[in-house]
Amino acid sequence: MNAKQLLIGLPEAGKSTFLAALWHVTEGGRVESAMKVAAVEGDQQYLNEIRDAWSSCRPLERNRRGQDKLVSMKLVAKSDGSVVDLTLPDPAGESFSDQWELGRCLPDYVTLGREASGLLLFVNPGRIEAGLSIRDVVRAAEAARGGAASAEPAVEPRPWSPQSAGTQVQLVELIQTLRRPPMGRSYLPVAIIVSAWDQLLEPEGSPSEQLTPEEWLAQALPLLAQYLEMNTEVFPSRIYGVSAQGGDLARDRARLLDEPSPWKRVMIVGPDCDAHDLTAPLRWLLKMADPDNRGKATT
Amino acid sequence: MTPATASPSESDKSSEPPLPAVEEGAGHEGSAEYIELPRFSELDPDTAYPITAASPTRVLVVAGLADSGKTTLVASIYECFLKRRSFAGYCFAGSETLLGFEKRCHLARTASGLSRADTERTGRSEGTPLLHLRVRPEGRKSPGRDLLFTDVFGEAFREAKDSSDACRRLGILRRADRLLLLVDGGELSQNERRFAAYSAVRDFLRRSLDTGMLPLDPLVDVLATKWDIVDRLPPREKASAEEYIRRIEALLTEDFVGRVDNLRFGRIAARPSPESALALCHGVEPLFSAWVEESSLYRQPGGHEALPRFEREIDRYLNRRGISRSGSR
Repeated sequence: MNAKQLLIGLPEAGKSTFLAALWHVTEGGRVESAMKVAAVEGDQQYLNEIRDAWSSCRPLERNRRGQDKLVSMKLVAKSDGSVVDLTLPDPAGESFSDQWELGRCLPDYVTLGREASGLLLFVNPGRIEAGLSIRDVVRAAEAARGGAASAEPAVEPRPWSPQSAGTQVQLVELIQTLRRPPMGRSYLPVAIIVSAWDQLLEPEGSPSEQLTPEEWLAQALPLLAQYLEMNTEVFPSRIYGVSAQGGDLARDRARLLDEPSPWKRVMIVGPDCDAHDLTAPLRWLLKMADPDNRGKATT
Repeated sequence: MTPATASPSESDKSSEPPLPAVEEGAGHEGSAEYIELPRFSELDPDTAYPITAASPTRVLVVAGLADSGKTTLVASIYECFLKRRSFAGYCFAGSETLLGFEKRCHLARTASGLSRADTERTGRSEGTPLLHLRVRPEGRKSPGRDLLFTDVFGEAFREAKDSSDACRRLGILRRADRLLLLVDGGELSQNERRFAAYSAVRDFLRRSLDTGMLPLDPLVDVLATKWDIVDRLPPREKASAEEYIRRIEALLTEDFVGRVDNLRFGRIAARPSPESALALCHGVEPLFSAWVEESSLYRQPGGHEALPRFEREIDRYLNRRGISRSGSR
């Protein structure tokens, strides 16, 4: 079985880190429920490079615009022994900024957009642009001051640019684009990967006090959450909280390097997945690509 | 980037459109070639056709004098979907004009550099700019509904209330599922400006009916906007403004009895000032469901809601021209 997956995420959304950790988890084969590499074939130089950087807690070099990488892995499911040739791109986040700002994309993206059986959509909670309203900011400032703000001098407004749109608006448009020509998708399962999930956890909180990935998405990106919930017939979705690095590279570096089995640093929260099983979103996407499963499992 | 493998997928279907022509990209690293993707800031009746042809669509015409809050109303509804999990029992299900909404919200955002929210004035346009919003009831209780908002430029509104020819030029009125007539609440709160604000709305509605631009028994909402201004008046002045508004509501009802039996009134503050305790889109939520669900064009004489005889816009279009689905007249 061949399967291509689409990866979408604005700059620094965690795409490459996810791929690096995924390669380590699958080639190591030590995570009980996870898919593992069936055979090493072809060229894995890029995957090995980013894995080595990831395991050494070095920041990954960002892909440059127009130089998207494409990686492939032959994976086997432990549950039933089925083998899948998985193809994934590691695109530059700027490709997606361009798509929103300039309304264009590379031909390879269109090809993959047409052929992919699933979509991994990355969101980095630390990189969300909210598109703040003046009213909310003034009200918050007044509440903090305990009184009305003094009048600011009048200024000329800055001209509008698509760049000023919030993250959730851009992500919704990137998904909507897949429905329109030239991609024209009528069905594409979507796994949302909320990266750096460890940064959202309350250090002292009990599990019941922690937000689930679904709750976080509805709070932080309500437009995106609504769009996915209202379009499950076309874009069935699941949401995962992922800490592919296992901590903050600056703050937790010593602890992370002290772990002799880097796969144990990986954390994932979501439906039907074990703690370190980064392949859970892929397994779900592959399952949903099966025509027999269409319309069954949704959010 | 060349995918290493081929997989059976939707792209294998023979119905897939061919890839569009590739255009030369400019100015970025590498000499990449790019494909232009279809997208819109605004739609017009032609570019909106794929939407209107696919399902019943509600066209909401927002009309009022300049600075009565037309653009702010539409932008603020979008803003509510950006900030909340639902609005008036509906969730956001898509938009073909996200760029247009974003542009209209710009002067109310910190990115504009302003310290006081504003709204860009709608300029006179030759066409009929339409903003698209698709909404669906919470819980996906029924299919989504497409809404197309358009506002009548303030000067065109002023001309249309005074001139039948000018009114006849507002062709979009014929397609209005609902007409939203805005009266500036700030004007209604000032004794010397009240009557002009009220009479503009009355004159426009009368002219639209007398010229046959509105369908029989149209759905019309008269909305007193900027209610936050009225709300923050000293008690005596506020009571006076409220009493005046009650009286003009009664007068309008009386003026159009038998012609507009579905006249509703609302008091809204689409984007209240930061000093106001009113919430974003104050007063809009109770009205919104009817904007989504009801249509002047689907109603039968007598005001009863009829099941739409023609689910598709194209069938309605053909029917209005006396053309059967087989093509014969």
